[in-house]
Amino acid sequence: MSDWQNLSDQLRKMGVKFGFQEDISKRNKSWPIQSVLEYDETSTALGSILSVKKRYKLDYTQGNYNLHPAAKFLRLLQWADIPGNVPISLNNFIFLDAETTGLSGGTGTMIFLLGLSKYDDGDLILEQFFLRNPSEEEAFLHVISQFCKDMKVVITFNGKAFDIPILNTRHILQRVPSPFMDVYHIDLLTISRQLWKLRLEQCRLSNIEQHILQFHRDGAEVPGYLAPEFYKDYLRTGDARPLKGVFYHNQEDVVSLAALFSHIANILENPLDDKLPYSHDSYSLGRVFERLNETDIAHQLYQQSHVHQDDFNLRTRFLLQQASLFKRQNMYQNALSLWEEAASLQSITAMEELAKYHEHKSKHLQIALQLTSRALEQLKGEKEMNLKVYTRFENRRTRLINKIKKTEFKG
Amino acid sequence: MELNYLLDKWKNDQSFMDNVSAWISTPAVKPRTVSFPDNLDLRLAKGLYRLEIDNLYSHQAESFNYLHDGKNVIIATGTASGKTLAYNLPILNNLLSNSKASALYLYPTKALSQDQLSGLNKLIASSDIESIIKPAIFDGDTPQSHRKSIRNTANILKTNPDMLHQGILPHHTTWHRFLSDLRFVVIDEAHSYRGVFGSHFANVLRRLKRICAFYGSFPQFILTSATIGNPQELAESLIESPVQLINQDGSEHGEKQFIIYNPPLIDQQLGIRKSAVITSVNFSKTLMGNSHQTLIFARTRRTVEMFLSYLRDSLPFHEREQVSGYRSGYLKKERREIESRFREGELKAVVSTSALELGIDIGDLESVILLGYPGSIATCKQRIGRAGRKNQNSLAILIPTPDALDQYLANHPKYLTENNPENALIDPNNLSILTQHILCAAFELPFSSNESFGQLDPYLLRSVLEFFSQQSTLNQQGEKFYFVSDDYPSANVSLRSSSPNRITLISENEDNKQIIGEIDASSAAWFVHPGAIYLHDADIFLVKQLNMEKGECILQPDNCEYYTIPKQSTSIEDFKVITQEQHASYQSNYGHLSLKFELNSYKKLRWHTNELISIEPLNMPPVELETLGFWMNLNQGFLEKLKAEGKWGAYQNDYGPNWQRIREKIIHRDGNRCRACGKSFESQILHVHHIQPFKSFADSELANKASNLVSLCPACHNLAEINVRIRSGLAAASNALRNLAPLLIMCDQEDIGVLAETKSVLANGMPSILIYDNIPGGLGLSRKLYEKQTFWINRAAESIETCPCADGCPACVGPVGEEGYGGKSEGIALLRGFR
Repeated sequence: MSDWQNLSDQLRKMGVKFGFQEDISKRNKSWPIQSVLEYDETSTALGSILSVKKRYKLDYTQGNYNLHPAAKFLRLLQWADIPGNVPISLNNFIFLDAETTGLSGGTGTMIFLLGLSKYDDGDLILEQFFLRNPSEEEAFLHVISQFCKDMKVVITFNGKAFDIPILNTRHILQRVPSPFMDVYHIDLLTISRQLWKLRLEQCRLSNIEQHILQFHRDGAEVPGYLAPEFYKDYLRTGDARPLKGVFYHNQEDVVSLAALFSHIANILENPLDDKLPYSHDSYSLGRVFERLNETDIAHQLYQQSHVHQDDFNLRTRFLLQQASLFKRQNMYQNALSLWEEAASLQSITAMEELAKYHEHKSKHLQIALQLTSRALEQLKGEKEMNLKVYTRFENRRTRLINKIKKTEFKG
Repeated sequence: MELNYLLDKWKNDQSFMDNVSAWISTPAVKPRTVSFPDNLDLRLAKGLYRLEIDNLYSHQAESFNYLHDGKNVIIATGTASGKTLAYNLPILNNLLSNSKASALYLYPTKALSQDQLSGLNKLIASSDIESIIKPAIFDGDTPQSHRKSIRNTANILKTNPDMLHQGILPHHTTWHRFLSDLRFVVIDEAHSYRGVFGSHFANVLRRLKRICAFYGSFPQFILTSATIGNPQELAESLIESPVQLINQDGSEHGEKQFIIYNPPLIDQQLGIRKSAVITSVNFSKTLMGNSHQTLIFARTRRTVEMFLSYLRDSLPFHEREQVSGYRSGYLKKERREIESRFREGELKAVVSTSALELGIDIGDLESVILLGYPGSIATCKQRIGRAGRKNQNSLAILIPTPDALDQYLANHPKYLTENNPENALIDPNNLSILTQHILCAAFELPFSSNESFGQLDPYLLRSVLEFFSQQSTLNQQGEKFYFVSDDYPSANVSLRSSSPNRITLISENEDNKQIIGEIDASSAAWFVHPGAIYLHDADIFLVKQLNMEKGECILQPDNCEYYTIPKQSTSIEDFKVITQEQHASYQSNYGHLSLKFELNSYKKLRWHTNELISIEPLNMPPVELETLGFWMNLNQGFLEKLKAEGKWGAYQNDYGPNWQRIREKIIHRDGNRCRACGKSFESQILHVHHIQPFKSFADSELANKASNLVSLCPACHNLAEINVRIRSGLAAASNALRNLAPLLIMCDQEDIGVLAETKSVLANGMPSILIYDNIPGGLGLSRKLYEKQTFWINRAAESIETCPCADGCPACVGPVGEEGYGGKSEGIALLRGFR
């Protein structure tokens, strides 16, 4: 009996259970990764690394969108807080997506497949680097750095929280400086949420792919959460066949990233070109432009959004947003008509803004009082739920009544 | 009334002094000081002056110098001796001259309070070094938004073992700045790291050191400890490196009075004393009435509530709000308020569980009352040490309960005031604990097969790594072992239980369901069998249901007047001797044991009086235990001597000659029926019971007269025997040994088991007393008892000898129960005979 078996007995007697018992005979080497995919091998001084390469022509379509990069992407860079004086050209972008051995993100999580793509000579090239076993990691990180040698901006989907921290951790563990530590990063998840969360609610890449790019994956697709398990099985059994689906999944993730990147860049460069079919989208885009401080465009988008929205709640929200932008800009006259429209839709916030305005700016105290009373009347039934607001209105009413009395007295 | 006058009044009161089992006066102690070391940074010197400190206590200087020389230290100088400055000063001194250096401070409590930072912050502020030294607390309550900046800038980090284990080590790459030049690790209250918790913690330290080495840092360790019997041994077991012991206290102390007031006996037979709670309440009233602020420590929340209600009831209305309770269940805000009201003097008395820990500032206390011995001498001394003021007298009163160890210490107070014999013990290589941490370590950094893990035998390490790779939890590539599972191993490791197999404790009442904790599967049957009363964090629960497959136990908060102890029958399945010693009258052995436990019933005992209320049946599947233990086999000569002296007691085999024939006759006379319940049984099942106990006769023939004998079935016999059977010397001795074991080893009563058998397989059919670690794989507890067996046996004998009872009571040989009564002289004869 070998030592670990003794240990196994001892642990079992102590009532300790770990993992599961393994049948070693299952190990078969008949399906290595080389037999499953068309592969390339890159040799380095640290060992060779296997990868799968593909080259896409730019008119390749991912759903309704092709891979032609956007003519300009300055606004997207601006949104990502990338300083305008940094010269960035097409070949400085790297699209990245990682498949890992787990989701915890701790030091025991490894990247076993890294999909990278970049524009090269008028095409989009994709290379997926694969870790055949953990001892290859040093070489793995090296070839990845080689691929990324011109990188200035990395583009990911949820990479800020996931992919990039894990990549940096791997570099620290291998004691190699990470090219991803100080690089500019555009996380398309963040901007996707800003653009489409109102309409789509769920902004996972699969959702965005289906609804925005109008792209549907084929049967080879394996959902991302199964990847860790398939890799673990592959290490144990040597059977790489299930990994084929993981490669496909990763490949499509990266290609969708590129298509989405261009699409979003285009939207930001030409926000008013297509009349967006959904007013939610106009509103969301308007908010993005408001944050970018491009208020003219923001106003046009807001205008589009509430004019075409039939749902009262949404229309109210859109009206109030635009009104508050006008207010910030001190353009009260414009804000007024929006507030009035919202007030006619029963918006309490609008009534409060109008009351404020008439109390302090226009000094039409009677109008302010009317609005205040109207609001109090409307809130009567739900006082407890809106106690703060109710109290504010009550205080305002008292104040207004006193002010009115004073002016009447002065006569 | 001034404290001194009150003390004099007591001294002159005979009825008071009758109950005082000890009154120890300690005169004021002047400090032994040393001027600031030459290499102390000027800024710190100035900072100390501004805090009105112009020299160091001798032990603070000692610590400073040892640390400067690159050594590890353990500071075991007692409560309120300035231990904090003893490590803060050298650490700050070092960090000031090394801009990238950092220090890690570890505290055993889960929730760290800002108080633990306050001493450090004061010194940093008065030394004007806020721009250089950035301390931070990192625990479960630290908001996410602060964590990033702490990782990037803190150079002193205060945290606890759980956070280190789950929150920092598995993410060490995000801490690489902090770990790259970690110079010092402070381990505060090191005596808390004993038993299972300590064994886990030692492994967490192994992982920490391994990761530090990866980043190129090799920190020095500074431990502080309450006074225990083996501080250096504990420290060196925890960090696996040599440690310098600093235990000569140079700080100053005011005059102190320590009184042990033992409530008088009301019933000698049952060992019942006047209520310790009421006695404590009376003391509080007297002290309050004389304007002396008092802190009262109680053992359970229930006792806190009881005390509060008794005290408040006896006070006039306006004085009731001057009294408050304190426990961990209170909200943070509430606790802060109580602490500050006490500091300001608004509260005259606070009664607390262990929640009012040392780190918390409540000012200088005039008097402390300990309601019951807190379970360890170290804790007892710490709490007593809370009372103390520089230029005035202070008072600590211990009011023991009728429990055996309480009473023993009341009669032998030197263990509370002189050297503490308690040993804190750990076993980092307990297989169940060790393997869990090797897995966590592999997650943190891959293992090379020629690596070491602390001082673990590399051969054993390799076996564990291979075991894990057979399980596909680790992947072996050549000589390296990688973690490739999608688990997060430290999430499954609880630092407070010995195995990964745990039962979740769920408290349910009408309104809600709440998880209150976990317990090892291996000890679940003992602690939380259906019907058990379970104490958790000083709260009391009744177990409604235990589901081992689901891993769940449902409990209900309860306030009933009893507690429970299960009755288990133990059988020894296998054993293997590791070492052995031959003595004159016995043979002592230490080795491996395979035990099997069957829990068939449990006792309900009344709180405080330990009176037996009833015995309830239990139907639990047997539990197996592989562990280590030590057993003492009586030699033939010893046994003969005891028998000759009539000290061998009433064993079934010793009912005189012809017992077998007499027995058969009686069973035949009774028609094979039990005389109590009337059911018939096979003759080998029936027992024959002496109506008047065998031992009470001078002559076995008289005892065995047919009119004194009756056939009973086992169940009825049990009930009949409860109050009548006479306890044997073996039972008396093993009770005393079990009661006194915590004097030597810091453990809970349940951590060791004692089994005494008249015909033991361990002794080839001779009598034997076995002591074993009640934790799978053992933890070194019985090993320590083996090493100090003479001391232990003598203390146990003493506890019976010096007990004021007539013929045995719960405080020495055990409560009256199915073991019978008496047994005092038999117990003494047996224990004193071990030589």
